[in-house]
Amino acid sequence: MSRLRKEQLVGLLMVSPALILLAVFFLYPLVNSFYMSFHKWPLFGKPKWVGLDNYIFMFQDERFWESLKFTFVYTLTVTPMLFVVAIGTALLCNAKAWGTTFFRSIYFLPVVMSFATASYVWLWLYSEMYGVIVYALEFFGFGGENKNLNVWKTGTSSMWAVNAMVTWKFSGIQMIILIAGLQAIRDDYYEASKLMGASRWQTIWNVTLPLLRPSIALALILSIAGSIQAYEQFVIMTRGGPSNSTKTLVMHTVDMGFDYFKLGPAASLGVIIMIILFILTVIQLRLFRKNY
Amino acid sequence: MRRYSSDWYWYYAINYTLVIIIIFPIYWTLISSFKKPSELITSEPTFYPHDLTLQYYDQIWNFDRLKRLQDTESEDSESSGVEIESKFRLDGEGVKRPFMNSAIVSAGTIILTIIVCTLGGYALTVLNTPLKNFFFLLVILPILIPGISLIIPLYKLLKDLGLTNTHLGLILIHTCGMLPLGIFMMRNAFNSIPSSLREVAMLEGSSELKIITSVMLPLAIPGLLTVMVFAMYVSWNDYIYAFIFINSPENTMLNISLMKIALGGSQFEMKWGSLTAGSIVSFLPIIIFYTFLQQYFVRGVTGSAVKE
Amino acid sequence: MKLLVKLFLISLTILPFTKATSAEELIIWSRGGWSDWMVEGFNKKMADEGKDIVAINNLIGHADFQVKFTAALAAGERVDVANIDLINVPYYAAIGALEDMTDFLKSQPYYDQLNGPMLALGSYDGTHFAAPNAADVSGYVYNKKLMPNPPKDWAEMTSMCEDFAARGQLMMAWPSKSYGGMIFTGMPVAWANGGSWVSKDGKTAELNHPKTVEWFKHYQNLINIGCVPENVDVWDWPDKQDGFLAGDIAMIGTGNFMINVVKDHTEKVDAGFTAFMGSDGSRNSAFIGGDLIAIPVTTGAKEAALEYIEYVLSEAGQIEVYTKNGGIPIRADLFEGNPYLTDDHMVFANASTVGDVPYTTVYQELMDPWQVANQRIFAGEDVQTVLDEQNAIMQKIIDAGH
Repeated sequence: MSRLRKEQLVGLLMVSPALILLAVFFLYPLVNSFYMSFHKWPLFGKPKWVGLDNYIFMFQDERFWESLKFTFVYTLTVTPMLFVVAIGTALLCNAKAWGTTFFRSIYFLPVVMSFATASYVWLWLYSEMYGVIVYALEFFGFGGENKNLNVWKTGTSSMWAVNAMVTWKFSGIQMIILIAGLQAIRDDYYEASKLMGASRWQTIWNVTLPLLRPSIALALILSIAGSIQAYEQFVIMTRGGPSNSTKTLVMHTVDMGFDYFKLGPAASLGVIIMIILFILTVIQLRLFRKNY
Repeated sequence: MRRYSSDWYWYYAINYTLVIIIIFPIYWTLISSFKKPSELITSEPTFYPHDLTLQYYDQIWNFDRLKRLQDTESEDSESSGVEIESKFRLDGEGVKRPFMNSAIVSAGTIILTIIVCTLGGYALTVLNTPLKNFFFLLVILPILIPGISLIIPLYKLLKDLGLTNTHLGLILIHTCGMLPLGIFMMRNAFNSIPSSLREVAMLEGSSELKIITSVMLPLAIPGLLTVMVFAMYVSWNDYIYAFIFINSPENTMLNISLMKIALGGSQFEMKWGSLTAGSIVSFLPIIIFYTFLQQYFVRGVTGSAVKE
Repeated sequence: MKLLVKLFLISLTILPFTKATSAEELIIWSRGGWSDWMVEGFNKKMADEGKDIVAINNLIGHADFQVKFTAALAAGERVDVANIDLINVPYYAAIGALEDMTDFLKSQPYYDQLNGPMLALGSYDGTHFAAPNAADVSGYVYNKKLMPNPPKDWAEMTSMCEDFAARGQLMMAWPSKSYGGMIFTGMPVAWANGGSWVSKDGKTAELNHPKTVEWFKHYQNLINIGCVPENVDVWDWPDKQDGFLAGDIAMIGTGNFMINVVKDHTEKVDAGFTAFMGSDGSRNSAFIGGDLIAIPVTTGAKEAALEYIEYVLSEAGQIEVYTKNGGIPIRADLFEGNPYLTDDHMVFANASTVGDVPYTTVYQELMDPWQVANQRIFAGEDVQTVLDEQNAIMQKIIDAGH
């Protein structure tokens, strides 16, 4: 057996646990769900093949388009917020200075709080009458002279309020991915850049960021996938309101499946979300692979 | 360090501002868990508890499901002389059992994840595995579909495999969910290690496994630790799978129990005290775990620097 | 690392595998915290009678109960007894998810005393699929420190509102954002006024019923007068409950569980309770919420399940367990002489005999237009226009069916 052949075999063997797990606990249910999406699927009894009916039903549903639109707006706004905070804190924590370990721990703290609890606590902080954040905002002149600020008053303000919570909660995840990437960059690159007389910003721009590409790709893919699948924060904090203006795709899916008991259309919604995200992810992988 | 000396003030000013902003909601959660009900909900908020109480922690940790509503009655039920098998008695256990359950599932997920992801990441980066890119794309898939969409097929699958209501079922699902991030991270980590190191080891006649454990992994420690932190995060904080797939009181996970206590016995209740105390209880272990790993983060980095 | 592996291996050995017992197990899924007591009492009774049945309570809670229950049904998970939010029961009954218990219920001597609307919700095509189990009844709670006497009719409510507004105080608030909260504490006011939500048979949407319109206009008027928070259209349940408990709001709609909640807040709140009333105060109403108890078709122990249900409906279950924990009995014959029914409880108990609960198999889907109607109206839009619009959406949903 040639060396290459052996290496190929060893490689397959090593990747097989991951593939088996994936096949059983992901691909199999996924195929099932795909199958469901082409059927009228009652809770009991025989499913009936309906072809593309579920998809047609869904596309004709205004609620689907509203939620799709909102989900995109949310993703487009929250992703840059998360990324800017994450890269900023990652660079701060990667500096060779006293206290970085401490800062890193603090920035990571919100991540480990359970999402539901965090949503409830922020809901409380945002409370019109007893919310500390609202006091602070009113102090800075938001809410006019009557001091009757309520962040849930409009769809847009609701979204920004949730964005702030999500940024607080999740930038730590991206930060830690970026830090792992930063630590993998060897010091000689910085030394070389320094010898060439580059300023700190130039070094970040020309050395750090290009070398950080794979980690940035991962951080962005995760954050976009997470935002397209946003659910808990909106269920708890806005309940999709006011007047359905903050209903996300996954909320709509859960409503379909578990509140309206329409399992077929719910399955087709899952498939659609998957296709959207697959396209977005492939695009991102392409973008970040260039010149790398 | 000298590099930053000119911006010394800015560096710490920015950091400390961020620290205050980020800490505040957590601080608020913490102090709220010590406030008496009358201080908890008030139009004159206090920034530290004036009247410290441990009642919520006591309620959660020693949570007695049968005691909650009828304080006087519990004694009668003890003395009634009816022996009910301990398995069916839930009083006085608090969240200790759910806490252990969550710890077991998290530990299992962490261990399984690092094994599977290290091997997978290595095979898909360093080795000449056939269909590498295809496998990699395949492994990324789980983050692309919301877990709730697969709940019903997954439930059927677990039932067929006899894994509903078991820790193992949750461990396998969480590990599967960790694959995209784990393999991606490990791939990045292995990618940044010069291939010459492996070639040297191969010339010395080491086996592939030996190379992984003695040469490659020590250099990939920041990535590995990140994967561990995430595995802990994913399994410890999971709500939906633990909620749907666990059906018996003795196998309940921590988050589920805490949520039940906080949301109370009736439909619209919201117990801020129990909610905040519960979140602190579930918060601590993962913080301890992270702090514990922190030291290795640093050691791993300096270690790699020395070797190079 | 080694430490972790070791910990894991140790923990595996103490994995709590389900022990095999000789007793017949009865798997109960429930929502309310009091169910632990019910199961404890049942087990005690079985032990006393020497029967080999042991009930295990899987307390799931109110949040997301039907998500779990639906997934379990679809996968064929064994559940022997389920306490289901009554509002979803018509759907489960319609799809054949529940066992017929008509004979059992009709043979009980207290059959006539069971709460009518709840019983109706558990039946489909004349067959009983679920029995009343636990009632959550709604009504007003008011703070005597801010409002010595509650209003008797809408005119008085309006004039009190003017007084409050003149003093710059808040009198009322409601959770427009919470569709469940609004149907629980808002709609009954319209019912008391003769209004309607959907028709009795659940086939016609009646959101734009003239008497319902009157109620919306009345509440909208209170906002305009100024005794209700301006942003009430985006208020959630905790907003108004916290406001009440902090002593800043004089009166809110709530449920009988509030009797227990206010006990922690006596410093600022001296609570009184009163039923929802119509415009002239001659009629009262309430939303009868809570659980129905049913046997899913995935049961493995139907006989034992019926035995448990019998216990739940018995005097021991309803008085010694349920009422004692602050609940309202679902049997009218248990109101009188019930030692745990205080005057406060009686307000809700009486309201439960005149209250209502809508019958529809698409309840959850109707919540969507209902929420939109509430939020838009209390944000100041024209009542008739909004209700006509949302009523049409509701009718469309009803016609499409489940």
